[in-house]
Amino acid sequence: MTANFTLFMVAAFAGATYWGWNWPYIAKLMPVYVVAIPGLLLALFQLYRDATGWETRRENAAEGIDMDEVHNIKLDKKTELRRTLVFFGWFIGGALGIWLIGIVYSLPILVFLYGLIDGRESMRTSLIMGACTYALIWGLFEYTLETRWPPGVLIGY
Amino acid sequence: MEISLVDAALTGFLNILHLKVFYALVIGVSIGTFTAVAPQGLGMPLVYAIMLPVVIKWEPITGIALLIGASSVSAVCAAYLPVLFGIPGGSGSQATILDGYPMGRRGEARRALGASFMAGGMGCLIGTFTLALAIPAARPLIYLMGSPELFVVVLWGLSMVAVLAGRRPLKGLMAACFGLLLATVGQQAQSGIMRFVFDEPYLLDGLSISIIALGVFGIPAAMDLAVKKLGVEQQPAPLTGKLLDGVKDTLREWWLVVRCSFIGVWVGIVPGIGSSVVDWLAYGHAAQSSKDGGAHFGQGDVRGVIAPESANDAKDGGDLITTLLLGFPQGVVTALFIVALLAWGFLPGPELIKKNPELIYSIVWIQGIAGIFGTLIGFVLSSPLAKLAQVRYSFMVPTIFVFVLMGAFSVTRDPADLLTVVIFGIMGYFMRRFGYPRPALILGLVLGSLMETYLYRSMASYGFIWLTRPAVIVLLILASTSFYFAVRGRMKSAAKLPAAARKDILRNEDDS
Amino acid sequence: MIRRMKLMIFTIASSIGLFAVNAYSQNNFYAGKTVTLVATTAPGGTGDLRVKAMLPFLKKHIPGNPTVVIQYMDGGGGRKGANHIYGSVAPDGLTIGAASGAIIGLAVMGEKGISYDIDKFIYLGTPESENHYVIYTRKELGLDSPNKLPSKPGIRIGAQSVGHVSYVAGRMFAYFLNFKDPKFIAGYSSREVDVALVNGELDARANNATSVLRRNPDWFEKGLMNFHAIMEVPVGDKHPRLGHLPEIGTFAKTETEKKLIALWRAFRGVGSPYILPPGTPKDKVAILEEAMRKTFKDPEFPAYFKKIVAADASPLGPAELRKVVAGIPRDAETIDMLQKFAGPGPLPPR
Repeated sequence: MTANFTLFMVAAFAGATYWGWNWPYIAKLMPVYVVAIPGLLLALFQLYRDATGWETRRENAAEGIDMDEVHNIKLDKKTELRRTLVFFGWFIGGALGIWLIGIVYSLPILVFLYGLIDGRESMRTSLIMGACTYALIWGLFEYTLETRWPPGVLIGY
Repeated sequence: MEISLVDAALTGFLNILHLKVFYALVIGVSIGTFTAVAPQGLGMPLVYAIMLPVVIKWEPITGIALLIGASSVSAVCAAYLPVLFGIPGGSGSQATILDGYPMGRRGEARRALGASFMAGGMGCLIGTFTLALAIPAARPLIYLMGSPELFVVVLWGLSMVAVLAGRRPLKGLMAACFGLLLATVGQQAQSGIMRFVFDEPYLLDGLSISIIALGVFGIPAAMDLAVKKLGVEQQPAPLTGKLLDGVKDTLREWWLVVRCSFIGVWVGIVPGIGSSVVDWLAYGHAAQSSKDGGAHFGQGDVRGVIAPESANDAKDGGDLITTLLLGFPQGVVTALFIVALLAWGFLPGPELIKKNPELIYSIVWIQGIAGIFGTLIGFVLSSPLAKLAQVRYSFMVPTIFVFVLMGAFSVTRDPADLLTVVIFGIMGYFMRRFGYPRPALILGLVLGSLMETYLYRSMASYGFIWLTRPAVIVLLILASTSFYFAVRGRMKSAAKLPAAARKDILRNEDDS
Repeated sequence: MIRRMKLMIFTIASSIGLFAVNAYSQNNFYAGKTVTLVATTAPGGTGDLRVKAMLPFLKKHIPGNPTVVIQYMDGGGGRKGANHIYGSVAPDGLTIGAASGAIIGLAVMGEKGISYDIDKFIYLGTPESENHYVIYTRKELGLDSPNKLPSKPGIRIGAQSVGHVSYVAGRMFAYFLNFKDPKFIAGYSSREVDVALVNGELDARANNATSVLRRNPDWFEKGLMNFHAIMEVPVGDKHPRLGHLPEIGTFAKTETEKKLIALWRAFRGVGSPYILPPGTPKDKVAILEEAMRKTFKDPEFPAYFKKIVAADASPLGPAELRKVVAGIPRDAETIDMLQKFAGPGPLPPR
């Protein structure tokens, strides 16, 4: 799986090199010569490490500390995958909702439904959460500050 | 000058001793506190633009008290979102997430908030004090740094990737390269060439750092809570630590606060660097200069909160130096502040120093008092708000969704903003999953376009001669020395760790 | 006869009645409604302030005193908002575009990402149309008259970005004043250019006349910069303090050069146009045009605008703005020449 992400990096740097190759020198100096080509070389080297399991062997002897949060979810793989997909489903659904019906309606609905379905909160609690979200988005921005959010593709207001 | 600076300082102080000035300051501080915890769509620029038509009808000192009160406190209280939710609290509070959020997850939210407010308050006062001292001597400071010097500083900042990459230097470099690549998207100012735009008008202006930061940090934080079902299946770490612990940490690290505050003031003074860089420069400096080589940074080290917060709040003082003394706005907020001053009949710049020095000192006093207010408010609110870190995921996750989606959508109010935050949310998840340091990506993104711009300008104006400028040589030596000691410190501290501790720290992401 | 009289009286009375009803309903169309200003600028900037300066007056002078709100749609130099106003908004008189003048230039120059037609927009006016530009050099260069400019090769002229107003203006000044081998260095913000001029990184800049005098009055008063020429927008309108500078038009030698300057002047002269989408009913257009005229004639407007925007209002009403847009030269040769000035390549030979 790690190799898949490294492949993405390889593709990104290779793509950048390809698309930027015909630009004038001043435009391609940074993205192609300084970034994409060295990045591609680094990514290919990392790909080699991923393929040969270099990092797994290195774990036992490695020095140094992680400088970012480390993925430390200790669940069985199936549950973790299912919950991760569900989470992104909600997130992407929320973004889609904003596009389709506008932010004023979609975010309160998202909050209400997430609380009710995934969070298993009571109907009352979920409704209150949704109402507070509506108060923030419509009440503060549209009503008080008189600043309009763009309407959704399906619903205008 | 017609009156002495001491007289001007005293007169400036006396001018603010009115009840309505105090009320205006309180209102401003309240607005600033609210915007600090509100989603990014309600930032200081919008608040200023809304308040401006109202405050320009007031007396100048009263209006200034409201405006400065709001912006000063908004910076001091910006740590709530990073510590409690793991999402950026504004462009100068991204780095705070790296250590503030892990502290919050560990149950040390009060300590983290206490440290951030104390550091922010101290930073604000240092910035204000510098502003007061700078009045006779600001001009040379501002013109000291040209494009060549700024290029070396940005390069120095980028060298912090070596620290921020931790034990994964190769992945860190790749993440930084990717950030640099993202920074090149859009129309290049120097050539007009559309780079990686693919005929999409949305990409003409480049990718928004705010949206990327929201996605890359906010979504994995929310996902963590949702997948673990925190508060239901897995209990959050109990709240430990006190506000006072954070205050003591900050006082103990007073020298770090001073150094980072001066970084903040300097970023505020120099045109072009911008607020999105200040916290990263301070954070990287703190990591590089720590005796253990930053060994615990990124894992909930309180210094990782103190450094960016003190710099971010001191920057306001630097901003006001160039705004008031030279008439140069440093960003949208200071540009609007200049508009307000002009509406009141004051011309920022050398004329203001000559004709109305007492006004400048009134602003200095208001800035200082607002900083103290903001710190006190932060202390009062942090205990109740720290409990938000204990709230179960069914409340936290939708709250983060609202903040992330609304914050992203408010940037240009284009559906493509939503697509961008989704893409970078997914990317942030995979980066964390597979050990690619996200701070390195953000550092590359933030510094990438600056590096290219300064290099181009240096070459275009001076050819290669810029490399022989004395300030450039000095800065290169300083940057190299700092980099060397940072790397050496890291290697030494890692070697000192017992093997068992190293194993505990190291986690295996590759079991998929 | 009596019957005819009765019929005539009835006809006249009905006409008066219908007219009164119509007038009443026109006046009350906007009552209780919300008018949305679609601003092609980001919230919180000085462009936003220009829009906000108009808000209270539009509320006051549109009959029925509707609520007026702002919807922000910045991006692509104004393209995004203009596309939206042109094609996505219902032409019912309830949505007005507060656009940046750049949308006109972008369309005439044939830039990508444009789906609007500037000749089909309905123009209501602009609050500011004066936009004089000047070129100045550092005193240390010793170039205290335009005649000395060709003697100094390699003058470094700073600007924000290729295609930016200040970039194009700088290149036009360099061309007409015969700068020798000028270097155009883009990538500065407005304040960075000022700093770079003072510390010697740059030698010259083209800038809005009012803006430079407001930011750095001592540059002119104390002679810290040498001012060489001015581009008057509109032509003939003398700047109160820099009106003595030679006008760029006086340096034009050929008809093409004169057309080039006219084209650029027209782009600058549209200011920040307020627009309606095509197909807006004529009666609504008439109401809004009248509201704009009343706004510009309102005795409180100039002072309020100056307070909010820190610049003088120089409004153009609907008819005048339409005239400016209609008068923009559209011939391919002139546009092609302007594109050379707006691009990164070398200046055309003179």
